Amino acid sequence: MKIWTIAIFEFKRYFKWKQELIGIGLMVLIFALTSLWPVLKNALDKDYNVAVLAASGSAPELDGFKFQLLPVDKKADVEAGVGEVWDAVIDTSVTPVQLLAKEKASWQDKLKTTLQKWQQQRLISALPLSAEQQQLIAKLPEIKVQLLKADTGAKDDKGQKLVSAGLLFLLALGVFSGFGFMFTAITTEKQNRVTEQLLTLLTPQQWMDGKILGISLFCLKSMLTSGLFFFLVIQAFRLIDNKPMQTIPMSGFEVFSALLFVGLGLLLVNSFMAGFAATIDDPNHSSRSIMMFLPAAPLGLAFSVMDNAEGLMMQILSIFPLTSFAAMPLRMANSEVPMWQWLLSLALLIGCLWWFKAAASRVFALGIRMYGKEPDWADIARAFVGRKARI
Amino acid sequence: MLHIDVSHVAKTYGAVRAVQDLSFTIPGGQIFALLGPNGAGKSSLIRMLVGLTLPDQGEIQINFQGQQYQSLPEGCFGYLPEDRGLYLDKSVVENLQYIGQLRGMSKSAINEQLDHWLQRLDLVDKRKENLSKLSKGNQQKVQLISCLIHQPALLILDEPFSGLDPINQEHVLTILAELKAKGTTVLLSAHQMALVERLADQMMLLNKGQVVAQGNLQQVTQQLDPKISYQVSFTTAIDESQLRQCQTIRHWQAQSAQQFSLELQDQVTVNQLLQELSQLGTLADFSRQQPSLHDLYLAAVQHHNQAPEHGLATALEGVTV
Repeated sequence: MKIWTIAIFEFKRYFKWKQELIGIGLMVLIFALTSLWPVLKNALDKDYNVAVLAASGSAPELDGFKFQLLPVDKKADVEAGVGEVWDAVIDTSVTPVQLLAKEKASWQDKLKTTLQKWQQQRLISALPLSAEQQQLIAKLPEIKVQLLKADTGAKDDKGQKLVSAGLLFLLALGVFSGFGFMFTAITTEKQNRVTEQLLTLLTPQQWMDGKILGISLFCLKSMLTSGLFFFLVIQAFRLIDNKPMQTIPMSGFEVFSALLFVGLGLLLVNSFMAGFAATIDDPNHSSRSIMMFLPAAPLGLAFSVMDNAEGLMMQILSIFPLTSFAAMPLRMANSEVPMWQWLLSLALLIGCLWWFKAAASRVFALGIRMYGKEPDWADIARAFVGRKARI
Repeated sequence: MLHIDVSHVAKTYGAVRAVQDLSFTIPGGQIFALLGPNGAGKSSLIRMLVGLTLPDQGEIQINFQGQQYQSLPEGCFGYLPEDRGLYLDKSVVENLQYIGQLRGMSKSAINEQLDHWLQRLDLVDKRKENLSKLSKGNQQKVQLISCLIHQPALLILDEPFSGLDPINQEHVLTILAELKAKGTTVLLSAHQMALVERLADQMMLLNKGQVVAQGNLQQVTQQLDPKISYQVSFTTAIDESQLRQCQTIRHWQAQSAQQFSLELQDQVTVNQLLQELSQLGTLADFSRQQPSLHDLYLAAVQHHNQAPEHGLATALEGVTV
């Protein structure tokens, strides 16, 4: 009962309607600006005028550039206008093709790439080949994929990538929110001496459990609301673009599984953070603050193997309990996972959480009552492995 | 009522012996004051009583409602720590409701007690304000309410008067006296000797983790055995050489040519002194100077600090007030 009282208090401590609405408003604004930015940029950026000295053929095409085909015999006049009339002059009469400009500028790289393709096309056209032969050279060959095992359904590759990126982003949001809230909550409570009074009402275990539960629920709420918000925004843009609605290529079980692993992962990560934050006396001067970023490591590892969801490393990470909360949802979003592996991973994660929470609470109990100094690493290690500290 | 027996309790932090072999009893329904300079061991002792730290040796026995406990039972006490601590970003009501809920109180009981204490401590108009916006004194009053809200059998107050103005000090004094009348046991530590003198039934003077004196005010005074002094005024000026001749006077201090503060030789009665003084001149006034707790405290601690290695008995020899 006390744990829930603390959990609700901690949740409400960070959940404020006004701030939630401001947060959503800011996200809408950022999305709007991001979407409008290319339009704005195109409207503000001038088109570059480029003269193309060529005997025949068509001019290249590139957004932001205006090309004009001119005869080669006007080369002298045209080159005299570089920097004033023309931003660049392309001379195809010499080999290699020459790009003349007044000074080096970033837009030249973009132009150069387009010109390479354009010139290649021109050279192919000049060869004594039939239209079919020319097309064979110009077009990339097609590869047909054939699978022995029947595919379960049409895979939405784009949707899978979207889900993977989204999951990773939301996990990072949850982990870093937990880091921020837990760190500031505990170090502030220590500095404000709230601990003295509360520890006469609660055991350190009750306090830590309630705090972990409340903050983890808040992180989960932030992840879900942000995920839902981004999904709705994507749908809105697709609607505006007259595109079909984006579906989530995940089954109900996969969604449930992702929520389960992420929820347990947040509890695990926040247990670590609660225990460790309690050992920090002054967050502004403690060299240990950097250790609080350690829970981001599983996200980095999962990200590094995300492109090979069937690989052995991804399999290991999705079963190893300190990384499975990040790796398993990503793996499930991209490939099929045998049920035994899923069950093993879940059992290991629950077991690890159980042990880790008890270990973290011993560290929490050691650190939370220390003022003006921090427990040394040996004390922390002893508390972590199970020896009760005498206070 | 709640009764506490502390026997041979000691606590060491590294090389610092914060509390050394302390034994005392806090009778139920009384106000027990812990006195002593900073670092005397008062807060260490209180932290052991409330279970924030464990004693290295000795034991604490609690008798509450006919049952014996090794530590304070949950919910039977309210604790005001030396370092105040509530959530500064939360309002007065939010803080107190949270504490009340953690104490297992129902919402209606919390609100009833809240209304009562906010009214009593003149905080009704501050109930929705964040603690960070309140003055130190008002924060202190909110902290005090957090200890009282569940009507505990024991109140443990570490420096309850700090940060309060004289009016609020009197206010708290009245509240504590009322609680005592209702049977609440109160343990407090304070530096305001005048207030403690008026309030406490029992007191214990600590220095460097050791007991210097304990008991009620009279017993403490006897234990410290202060040399009583007398104030005498003559109608005319007196030559100090005449005082030197007096056999009843051990020591004197001239405040003017007519007024002196005197100490008697051992075994001399006041009558003998008066007889000798009347031979020197006509007496205008004569009074006994009663030492205050403040004077006793200062003198005892000063002597104890000068002879810490000799223990209590030596420290108390010749305490002069």
